[in-house]
Amino acid sequence: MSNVTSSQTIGPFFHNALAWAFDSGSGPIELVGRVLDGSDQPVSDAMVEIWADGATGKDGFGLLRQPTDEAGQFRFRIPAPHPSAPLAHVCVFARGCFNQHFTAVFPSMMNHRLLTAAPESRRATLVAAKEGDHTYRWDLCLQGARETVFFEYE
Amino acid sequence: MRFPPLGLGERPNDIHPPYKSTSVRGPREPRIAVRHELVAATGIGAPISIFRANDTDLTRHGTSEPMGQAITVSGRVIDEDGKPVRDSLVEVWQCNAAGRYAHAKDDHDAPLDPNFLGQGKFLTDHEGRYRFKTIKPGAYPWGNHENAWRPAHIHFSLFGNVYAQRLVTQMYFPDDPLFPFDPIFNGIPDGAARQRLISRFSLDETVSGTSLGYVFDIVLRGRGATPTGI
Repeated sequence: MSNVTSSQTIGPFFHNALAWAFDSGSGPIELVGRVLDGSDQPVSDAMVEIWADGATGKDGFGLLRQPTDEAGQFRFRIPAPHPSAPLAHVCVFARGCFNQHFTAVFPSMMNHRLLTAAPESRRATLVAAKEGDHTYRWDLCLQGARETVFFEYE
Repeated sequence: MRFPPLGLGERPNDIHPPYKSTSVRGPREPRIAVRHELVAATGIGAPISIFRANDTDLTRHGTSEPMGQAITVSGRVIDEDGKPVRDSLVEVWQCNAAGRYAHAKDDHDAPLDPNFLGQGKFLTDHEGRYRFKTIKPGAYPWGNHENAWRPAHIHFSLFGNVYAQRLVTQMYFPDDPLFPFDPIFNGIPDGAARQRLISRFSLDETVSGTSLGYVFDIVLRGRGATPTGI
């Protein structure tokens, strides 16, 4: 047994306290998507945090944070993608989630150790769809047939 | 730095049927273990400019004192080796003494307190210590099941020194009669791990004539941090 402090849900009432760091970023690329539950319903009270090289939040804070809207949607402006790196590392929190969930989103299927660590049949859940020249669309599925791959650190 | 696996039952199961929304929001697939350096080797900087007056005194956000029992909450943030987690951002939020959050979506029919917003943030010091003043939050009903009430709690959001240490949790108060009935508290299978979320009353931290003292120490995951904590 460890002596680690256990996780509890972020609950539905975090917005005002955490809003000081709500910032969608200012990069040239748009990363947009929804948080969905196991019934494919939008999760309208989630919080998404992303960190990417070169993306700095409010007052120089080291990550970007957005709550999802009524449609379960989040939207960030991030730096241009690097050919061999994820668009962003992502962490999602929500009422009904006891734990935070760490994941990552890639601009395309590539030979990256985070992608190859995931079972081949589920890797596509970590890859965004490109729309036009400047937008990547990526849904984050907490559960269900398209459940996003979540990571655990060691 | 290493992140040894958590002990059995120390982390809540993602799906815990008594907490109903977990049934559609909890992932069913196992987490994929990866070296934490692959994700974020460094911590999240928290520049001093983000802090505002009274971020550590939640009783001074209005024009007069909020209703309720004034308390201070203090403690240490350490890692699994017992080393202090230094200069690390902590955010806290809570409902007011009547059990109502200053939040548009809280429809509990209890009074708002114009002098209480219930939000704060601060950095741990060189020893990993923190301290803030607030009022004791009330219990409140919620729609999970018939006659469901949350035990009084304060939400904590911690960043640690590397992002893999990120933790969002809730601090509870000693001897709350609602503990046996709360599916969120009881979502942690291990009894000792549940007890670690309960603060303790401290007469030493109680300020004479002013506020009761509660102590809540937090252990973030991780071993083998460098001495600077980076």
